[in-house]
Amino acid sequence: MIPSFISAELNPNASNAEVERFIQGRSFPHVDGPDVTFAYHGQAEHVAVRHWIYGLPAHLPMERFGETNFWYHVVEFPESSRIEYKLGVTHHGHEEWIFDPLNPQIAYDPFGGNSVVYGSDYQVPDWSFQMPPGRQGRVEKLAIDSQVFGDRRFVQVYIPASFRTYRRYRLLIVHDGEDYLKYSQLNHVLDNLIARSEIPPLIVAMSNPHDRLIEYANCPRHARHIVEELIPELESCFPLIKAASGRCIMGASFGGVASLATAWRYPETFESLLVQSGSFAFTDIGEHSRSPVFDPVVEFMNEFRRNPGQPFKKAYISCGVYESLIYENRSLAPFMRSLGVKTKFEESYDGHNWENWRDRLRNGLSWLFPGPLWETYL
Amino acid sequence: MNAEDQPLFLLGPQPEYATLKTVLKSLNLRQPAALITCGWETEENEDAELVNALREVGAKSINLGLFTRTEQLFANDPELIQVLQARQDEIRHMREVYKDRLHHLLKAARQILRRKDPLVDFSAEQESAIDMIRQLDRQYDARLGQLVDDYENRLNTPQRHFVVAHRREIADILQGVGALIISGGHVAIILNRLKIFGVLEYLPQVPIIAWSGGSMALASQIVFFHDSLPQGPGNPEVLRAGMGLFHDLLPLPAADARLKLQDRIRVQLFARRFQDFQCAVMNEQTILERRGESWHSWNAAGSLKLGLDGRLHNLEGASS
Repeated sequence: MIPSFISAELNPNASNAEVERFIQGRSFPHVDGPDVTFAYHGQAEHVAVRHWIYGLPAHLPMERFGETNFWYHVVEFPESSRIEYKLGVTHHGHEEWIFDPLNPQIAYDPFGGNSVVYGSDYQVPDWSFQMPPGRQGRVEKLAIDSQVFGDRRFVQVYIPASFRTYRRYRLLIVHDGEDYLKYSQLNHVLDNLIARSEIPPLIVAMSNPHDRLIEYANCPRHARHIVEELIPELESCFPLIKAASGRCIMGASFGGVASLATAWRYPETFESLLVQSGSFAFTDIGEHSRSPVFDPVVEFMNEFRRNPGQPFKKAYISCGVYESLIYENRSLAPFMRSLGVKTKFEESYDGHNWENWRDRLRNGLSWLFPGPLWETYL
Repeated sequence: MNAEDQPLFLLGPQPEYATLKTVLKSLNLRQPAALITCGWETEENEDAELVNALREVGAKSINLGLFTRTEQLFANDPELIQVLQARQDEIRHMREVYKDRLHHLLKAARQILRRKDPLVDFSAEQESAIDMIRQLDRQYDARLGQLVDDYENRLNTPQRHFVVAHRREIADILQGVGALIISGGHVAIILNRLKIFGVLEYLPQVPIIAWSGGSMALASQIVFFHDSLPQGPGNPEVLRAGMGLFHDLLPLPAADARLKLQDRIRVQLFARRFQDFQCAVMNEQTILERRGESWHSWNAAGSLKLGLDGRLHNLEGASS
């Protein structure tokens, strides 16, 4: 079915110049309620929308409109969706994945980035924007000579704008800290939520792995490094609450596994856990079908499900419904509740990406760390 | 003069300082007003907009700097901060238990209030469920009061060396002021600073004008509330006794934004739980002036209270 805004206003024999005029003044992808029309203008043998939405074919072929070089494809999405994608353009039998030339919106990530389209009900949260200078916390670099790893590790530490040495602060440890800063604007989110009194001023330690897929897949050395090296170092540098009640550990994807595994290996060290799209693959019977990097994860998750203990009191879990991990994350929430862990689970119409994780930070952090908004009446 | 007899004006939130200016115009101050903005915490000194608003109506001002003074105190008197932090820890534990108990009692009361059966009268069960919450509030308030008193006996704050010096300075400033203005902000911080520095003890017989968190701190009872927190609605909870300048009114700043006023069960439960008080909706129009035993409202739009039937009503005795 050709969208009416195309069939009504573009001639199937339109020249390139006429197509250009048609495109000008319109934004693409064209969003009309739940209907999202992806478009491309140019010579090609084949054009497709390439995306990471679990449940849809990964390759959505675009149709050429009449005899023109205008290509389109319509997909129906829930209106609060946020969709990352690229266009696969084929010339001479070779497909190249490109940013959508008609869409200036790009979501960056450690692999480069993707074009992104927002559903009609989606809004970039205003609490993720940069605050004026006086309201910004600062991020300091802390070096730790790790006995556990036998190397030097760097941690970025977020210190809130209102920091005072006589106060006591809660500690949030973040896996993949640099990526959270770069792609989820974690420092801006913290500045905003603190300024709005939605969370209390926190000290946030953003750790970074050297060999992520090894260290974050239930590596005992990683857990030891966090608990026996990083936390004592932070406690010597900052006025922290030196008890589980003052600590939370957090991460996304494999960082979620690292968070859960660290808390599990060191029970009563953390009061709470914040995990986003955790790679919590497990098996009930037989082998898993994911890549071999998941072998230690599956082994850990199976062990955790057999012997969970009581590693923490509160957990916030989020996952996008467009991710293959939604099943595992949905399963984890009732399991946590059955252990007596106060658990909040949230889904979003989004995928496995940093902006999805950014967008859930307000609900997660304010639930785990309720701020003084309750006590503040301006 | 007893602080309870002090001329007193309670206002709602002040995005443009409109009602504050209205009151100040009427007072026509000849002496500067003392400002307390410690509720803004580290932003205490960012008072330029407020000072300008006062200037517009010909009022000069002097900020008492209570937050900054406390920071100096903590730097000079480490024992004070240590003991206060120990007190805070104990309060936190006590509060966690109170909130757990409160959660279950409120849930039960809401369920009973929502129950409908034309053949059965549940009013006795409803009253009993609400009364259990009142009992819990009283117990918590008493336990907390005892704990705060015990710590105060250990600390003897007014006599501490550095506190004495600050109190003397504040007393000197207050002798020359024409009014005391207390902004909104973090209520516990406002309350603590008012107590540490004995501000009301040294205040001459001049009008007090307080808004939002400032007005809550002056009440005999302080209740926190918010139905629209990002983490979900909170259960209204008692903080502890305030400065006790009035006993009949529970100021609820921005209640029109913070409370689900269309939810008659929640409103009814709130009003019935705190039935000894008029639960006043303090909106941006609100100006309540204490005149003798009663409250005079300067305008009808700003003189609403939560009703026992779950609707909004006019404040009793509030002429306008």
